[in-house]
Amino acid sequence: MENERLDLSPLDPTADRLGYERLVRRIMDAAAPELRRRAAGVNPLAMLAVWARPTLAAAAVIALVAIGALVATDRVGAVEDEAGTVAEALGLPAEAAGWLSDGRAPTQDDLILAMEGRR
Amino acid sequence: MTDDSALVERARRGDAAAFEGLVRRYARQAHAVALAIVKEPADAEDVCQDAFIRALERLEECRNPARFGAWLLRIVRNRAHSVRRYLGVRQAAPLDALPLSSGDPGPARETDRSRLREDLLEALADLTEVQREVVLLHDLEGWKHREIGELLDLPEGTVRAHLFHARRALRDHEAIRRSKEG
Repeated sequence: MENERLDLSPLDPTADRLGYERLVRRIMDAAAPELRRRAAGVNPLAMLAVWARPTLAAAAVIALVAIGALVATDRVGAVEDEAGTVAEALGLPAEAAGWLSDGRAPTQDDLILAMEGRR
Repeated sequence: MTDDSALVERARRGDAAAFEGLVRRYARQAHAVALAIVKEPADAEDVCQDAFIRALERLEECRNPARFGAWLLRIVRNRAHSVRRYLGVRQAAPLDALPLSSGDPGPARETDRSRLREDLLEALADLTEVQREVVLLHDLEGWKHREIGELLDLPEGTVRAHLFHARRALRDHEAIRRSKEG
């Protein structure tokens, strides 16, 4: 009993044929300007809506790649610049600046060569 | 029968016949969903019209035209909720701002079918919104529990429970009405 389908047909809007046709006509009349606009040509807003998502996604990927590359380049440059700036400020010879930028301690041979070079 | 994708594609290019095809295919379901939320048939018709126009204006946003119906009914639900909120505010207006009732029951009561309709609407008004949506979609529109669950974001079991309670409440209402008449 409880599981039997109820007869709700009096609420069916299509049962009243005239009323239903009136509703369809009402909707179609209200839709006419937009349908005319679409039939007349491409709607620029619609085109934007179609392309907005892929364009935004592509822009986001490009931005991420560009930022990544910038950060990486900047980091390498910063280390090199930093080494050069310290060497210059201390008035060290070019050889010493090279050891600094390489981040290594000079060997005995390096020191001898550097001293010979200064002579 | 032409599938929804083809009709949507043609409607996007401004084909009135294609859009009318979509209107005729989904007006009944849209009306049932709207009626479940706003409760008054006249308001439900307004919601239907508004929802179809909004859908047409945003056809490019329908990413799966084959499922146009599901997309449209979500628009209908959103519009119906907005209208109900508006009507709630309007109905909360001060009493002296409301028009006086003429006491005329209106032509709707002139036939048995109209009376049945009025009774059903009155009984539906006592249900919760989700119960109304479930019972109208299932018993009027012939939707399956799974399809209703997808539209309302409810598990199938919950849909069955709402349907059970809605039917029982509507039958109780009918029984009370008959006992009063008898």
